[in-house]
Amino acid sequence: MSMIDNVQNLAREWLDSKEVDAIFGLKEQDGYIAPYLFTDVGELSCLVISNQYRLCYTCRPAKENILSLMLQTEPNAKIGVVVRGCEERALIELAKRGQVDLKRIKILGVACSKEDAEECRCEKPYPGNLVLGEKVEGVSGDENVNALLSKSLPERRAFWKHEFSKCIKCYGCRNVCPMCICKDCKMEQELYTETGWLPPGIPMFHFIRFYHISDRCIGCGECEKACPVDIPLLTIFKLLQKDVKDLFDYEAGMDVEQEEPLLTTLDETPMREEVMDVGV
Amino acid sequence: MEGKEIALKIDGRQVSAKKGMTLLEAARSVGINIPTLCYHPALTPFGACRICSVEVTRKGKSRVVASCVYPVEEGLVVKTRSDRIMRERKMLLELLLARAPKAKAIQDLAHEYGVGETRFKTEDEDNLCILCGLCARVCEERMGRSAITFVGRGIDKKIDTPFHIQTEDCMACGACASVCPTGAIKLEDITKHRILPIPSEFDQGLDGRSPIYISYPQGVPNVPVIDRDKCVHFLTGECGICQEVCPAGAIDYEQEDEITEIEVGAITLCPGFDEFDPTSLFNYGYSKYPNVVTSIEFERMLSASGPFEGKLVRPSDRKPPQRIAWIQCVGSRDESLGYGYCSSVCCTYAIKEAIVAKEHVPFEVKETIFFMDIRTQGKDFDRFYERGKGEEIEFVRAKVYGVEEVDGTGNLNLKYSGDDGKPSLREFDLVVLSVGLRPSVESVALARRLGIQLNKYGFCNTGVFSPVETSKPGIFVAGAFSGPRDIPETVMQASGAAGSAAALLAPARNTLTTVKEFPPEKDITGEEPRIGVFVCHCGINIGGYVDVPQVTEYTKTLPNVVYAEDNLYTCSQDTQEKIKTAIKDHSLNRVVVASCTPRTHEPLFQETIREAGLNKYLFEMANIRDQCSWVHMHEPQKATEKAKELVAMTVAKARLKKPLETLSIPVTHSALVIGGGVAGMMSALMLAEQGFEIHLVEKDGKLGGMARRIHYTVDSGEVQAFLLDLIKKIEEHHGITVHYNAQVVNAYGYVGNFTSEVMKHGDKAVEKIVHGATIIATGAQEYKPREYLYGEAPNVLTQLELEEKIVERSSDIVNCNNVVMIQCVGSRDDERPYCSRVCCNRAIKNALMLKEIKPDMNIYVLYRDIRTYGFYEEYYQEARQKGVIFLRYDIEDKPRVSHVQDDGRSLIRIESRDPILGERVLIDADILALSVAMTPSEGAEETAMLYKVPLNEDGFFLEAHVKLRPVDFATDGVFVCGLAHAPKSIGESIAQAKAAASRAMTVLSKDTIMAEGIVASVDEDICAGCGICESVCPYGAIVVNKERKIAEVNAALCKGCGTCCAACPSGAVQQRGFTTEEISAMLEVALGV
Amino acid sequence: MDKKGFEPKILAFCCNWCAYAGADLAGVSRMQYPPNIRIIRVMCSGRVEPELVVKALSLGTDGVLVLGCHIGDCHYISGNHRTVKRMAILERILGYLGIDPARVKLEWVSAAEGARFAQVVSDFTSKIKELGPIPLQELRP
Repeated sequence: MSMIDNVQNLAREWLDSKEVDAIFGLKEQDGYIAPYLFTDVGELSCLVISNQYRLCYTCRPAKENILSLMLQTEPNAKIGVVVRGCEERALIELAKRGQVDLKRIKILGVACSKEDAEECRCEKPYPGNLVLGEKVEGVSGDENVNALLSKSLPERRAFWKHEFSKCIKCYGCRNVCPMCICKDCKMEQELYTETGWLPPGIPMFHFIRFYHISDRCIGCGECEKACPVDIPLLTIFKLLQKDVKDLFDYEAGMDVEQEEPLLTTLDETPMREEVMDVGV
Repeated sequence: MEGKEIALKIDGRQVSAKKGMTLLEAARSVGINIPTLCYHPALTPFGACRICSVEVTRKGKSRVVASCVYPVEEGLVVKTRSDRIMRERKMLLELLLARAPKAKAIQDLAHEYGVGETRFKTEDEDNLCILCGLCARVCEERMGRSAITFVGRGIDKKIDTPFHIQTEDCMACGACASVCPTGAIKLEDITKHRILPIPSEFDQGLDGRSPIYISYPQGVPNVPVIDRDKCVHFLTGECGICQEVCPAGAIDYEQEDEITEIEVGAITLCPGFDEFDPTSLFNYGYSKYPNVVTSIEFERMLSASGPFEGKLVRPSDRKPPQRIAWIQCVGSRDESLGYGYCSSVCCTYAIKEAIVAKEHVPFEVKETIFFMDIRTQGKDFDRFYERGKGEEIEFVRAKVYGVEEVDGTGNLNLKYSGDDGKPSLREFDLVVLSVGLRPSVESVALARRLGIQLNKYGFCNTGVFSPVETSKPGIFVAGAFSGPRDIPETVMQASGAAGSAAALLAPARNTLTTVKEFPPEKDITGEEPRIGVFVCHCGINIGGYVDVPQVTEYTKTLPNVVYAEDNLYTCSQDTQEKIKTAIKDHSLNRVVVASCTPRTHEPLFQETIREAGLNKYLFEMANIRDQCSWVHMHEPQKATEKAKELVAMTVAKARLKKPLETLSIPVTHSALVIGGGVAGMMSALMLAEQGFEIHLVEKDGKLGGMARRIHYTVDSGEVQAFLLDLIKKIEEHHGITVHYNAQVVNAYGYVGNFTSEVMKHGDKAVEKIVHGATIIATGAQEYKPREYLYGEAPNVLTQLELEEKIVERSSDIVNCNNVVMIQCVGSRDDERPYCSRVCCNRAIKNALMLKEIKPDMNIYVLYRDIRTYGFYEEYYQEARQKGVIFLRYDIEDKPRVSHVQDDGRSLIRIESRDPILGERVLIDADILALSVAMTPSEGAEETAMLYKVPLNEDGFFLEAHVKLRPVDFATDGVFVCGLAHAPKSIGESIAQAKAAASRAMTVLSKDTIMAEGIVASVDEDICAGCGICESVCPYGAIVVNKERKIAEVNAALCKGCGTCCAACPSGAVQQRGFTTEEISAMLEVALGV
Repeated sequence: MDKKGFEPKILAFCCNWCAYAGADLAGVSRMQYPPNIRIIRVMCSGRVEPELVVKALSLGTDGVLVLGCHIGDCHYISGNHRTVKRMAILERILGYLGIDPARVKLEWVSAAEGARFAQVVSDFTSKIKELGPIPLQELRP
């Protein structure tokens, strides 16, 4: 049986047994794919999984994304959600920030294929709550990261000058980011970065997102994919993910009970002394 | 007024000066700096060095004159930095450099004027004297001595004593050296007297001080005092320089000690202690060898503000020591010296010093502490001991009997005998004597005057159950005067004493207070900012280095500044009136003062503008003294520029300032006390006796807690009698409601307004209690051992169980021949790495009781360290004298126990290794008593969650600050006392209970609590309810409303740190008074945007 | 860029309870340090938003000091715990972007450490002088 058959069957089981009141997933109809809430077992044959529509449940603004709207309109429903690794991590991070209620969600976690993982440069292409599929190892090492690290400070400046100068301030990176849940964003506030200019303030404009997402980034890479001018944003996020792991022994999206390290005290999440002093 | 005003122009500025002033004085009065070398404001101008030369123009004719002697003239035009002058100064500096190439003052000036090298020949490389004559003048004019003067002529001219003989005339006052700009004077060449620096008391004599001095930089009040025994003016009537130069006219030589009578209702004695002076212990060589120092001296040596500026060097040669030894119990636990008690704090402070010293030095330092027992019985102190071991501090259990200097090196040989009993010798670079605490002579005299009882050592006598009361009613005691104790205990006792005094005087509360009335606040909504700026000269403190008029003029050009003036002292009373008038006359709605630090002066100015009807938060301060004029004294121009910028930054912030509301929160005048043990009852009673309504929640059906099982204390306190009396008082007090068999199941609210839901066991109904303060006194429990056959053999008991048998005079006791006690059962191990504090005393107490019942009983105490801290040491000595045998064991090699039968009797065989004998010891005991750990009570975790207060790693409640706030929590209005906080004796519990009650009183005695105006606020339109703010808030003051998904601030809880504001990713949370916009405006101005 | 004669602009965010008081003590003790520094008082080092630090750098500050209470001594219990973590991340991001992380520095200075304050400021000023003006134009088109 193929992967999708397994997903459909399990979804059917959950619906039949009333374990969940609905299944949230992607539906293919007339060649178009869109998020859909399956309540009728009969429709489940249209349930698909597609790499193209990752994280569509959680697009901002947070209070208005599909999942959260659904949970609002159906306050008593329990919903099964078909998720990949990145999507599960997103849900966990959003739950930490009070944007979704995990108690009302049953995760139907599916593993991604090796090809999917490579396409996304994903380091962890499976959910913690893996229900279906075989776990494959994610990619390790990243060309862009290595390239940046091999550069001297002036070379890095030259590199980012080139990259950031292309920015057309479409806010695509932010809008697509499942972790960017603010209603009002500092990237649009005059107080932080002068509005009305292209490219937007370097480095302030991009710094805001790098910093805000630093300990929350789930490494989905949507920002970089969304960028119409191909700014390699994931490079910095990957580095920060590693820093957060090294400094605080913390990974985003693993455990809903685990607070982000920048929010906790040193007693709650210690910072490794040996890496406290940063040198270049 | 004498002297008419003379108008002249200096550097293009119109200056008005008094007749008779010199050009130099006139220039300095307006902040124009002219360099000087031979000038001193208290001495006749001399015009010798010519470095103060300026160019004066009159009637078109210009010439160069020495500004220190040239008087002001009407219409004179003066240039202090013209090209000609600069050329001349450079030339002079070249000449001076040739004369005194190594003089720092000359080098600095040369550097300032861009003079690199001198073209002239240097006669004497080491000469420092520039013949300015200041020394000779000060000696003659101010000291009336003329001990030194110019001798010789021409190139042979020099400063010397007549005939180059050291004279009696010189009184070695050091005035000459203190005025010498280049450090050329060597006092030893002049005087016949022995030169003794006046030892600085604060630096433990490791450094000197002048006869007029500030005790220490953070003293309160931070003003100088004159040492009359050393001051030349008081000795000879001469000098008087300080009075002349003090611009505030604050020096008054006529001041005499005054006796003031104050009528009070209670007295608290906190005269502190003296450290033991080890000079008398010849074998340690203190005051003989420079590198033997006391622990207090060592503290100063480590201090950044200390004599060696925080560099760890030893006194003899200022070289960093590589090997340091601490000798413990110097002047403690030594009855032969009359100090038989343990000073309680030395072990911990020695470990602290050793750890801090390690942090201080970049190089490897080998540290060794020689001790008898390590007594780290304080809360969490044992962890600190373990940390010390982890940082490779060596602990050697040995008595050091001699210290001797190794010839010529300054190093010291320590002679000691350790566990093996053999004499050993080791060399160290520095030896620190951990000196004990003793009562000061003055406090003993004070006690005599007051007629209070002292104990045999001269410490204040207190009762077992009355730890803050002296023998005289109405006189209380706190701190080390009642016995050696550490900071948290001192603070607790102080709060307890203050509370006891307040309780005594409760009827008089607020009868002598007057409430200040303010006019209504002006509404400034919609008004354009109208800023008034007041720039302070602070005498010459600012004005001497910063061009204050220039700053003021500049200020007037800043946007929204409608008024600016400079004041000699902006903080003076008349300036306050000026500020108020200016607010009225110019309709100011923001006020900026550019002067000193807001930390000391903001409240004064805030009050002034409030008196003028402005909200106090419409005030802002620029610190142009502490952080500008004083720290850039040699760069007046740069300092002036910086001052301008600082004012501009402040004005930019002031422009955005908004009036803030200070929330006034009503207080419910009642308290909830959780736990009906001794601590809970004591605090309940103390509060109830002042008329506050008390709810006491006890989980049992009886009051008393742990104390119900204790019958007597080692210092012969009758616990049961005391307890019965206390319970009776509680039960009879109409203001106290005791909730038996009950627990708190829910709690919410905040300081002044808590609601707790109390439920009786087995009951469903809850009673809601509204209270203003909460005291947590949930106690502790006895550890139930799993080791040493406890629970398996009936003759293995805990100390409390043994105590019960002793009290019953049970036949087990009477027939018993051998008793073994094992200490630290469940304490100081990996699972519970803390000391339970009371067990050593408890064991000794029981041992002494047993000896009293049956003097020939064999009692063995197996211990790791005997921790009979303070006066308890006496009972340890007594036990040893009475034949109780103390055998040490190592944690790695704990005693082993087994059953044995002897003559049909069931005995416990204890096998232990004695590290001193190095041999195994076998004892067959009738009774084995285990000194078991004290563990946190079961409900602690739940209580902690309910009131949102933390527990430490061991499960005891964690106070707000381990030293300074030992009964408070970060959550206002919640306090802790007794065993819930940490293991402690009954007396210590009572002191802490009183402290908790006292702290609760500070809330309950008010009708309202004023919350801070600087609090967080949330822009609800922007907030996404992500809860980041909630996660970072240490006070639970900002919480996301689950329904609205918006963060809400509880202003009553918010302390205004702004951490939430920095964390908020969208900028929805702002810190009032420090908004991002305000801070941003400041940095934009600072960066000239 | 000619580093000689370069006078850097330096900002310091000082916690009201420790470093600001330490700066006052340096003043009272007349300890001299370079006048390049401009102090902005905050109630806690935990108030310092890394965004503001970057803003300061963006506007041409050559170096930013953040001075707070020693760990364990925070007036607000744990504000400085957040500061140390934020600064660690900030420094890393700056490094990745090619801005020398040494241009921002977090130090603990207590109210009693006037000498340390002066030392920290002097050392930092020399360090920034050594680094030269902030090379922002190299990041901007």
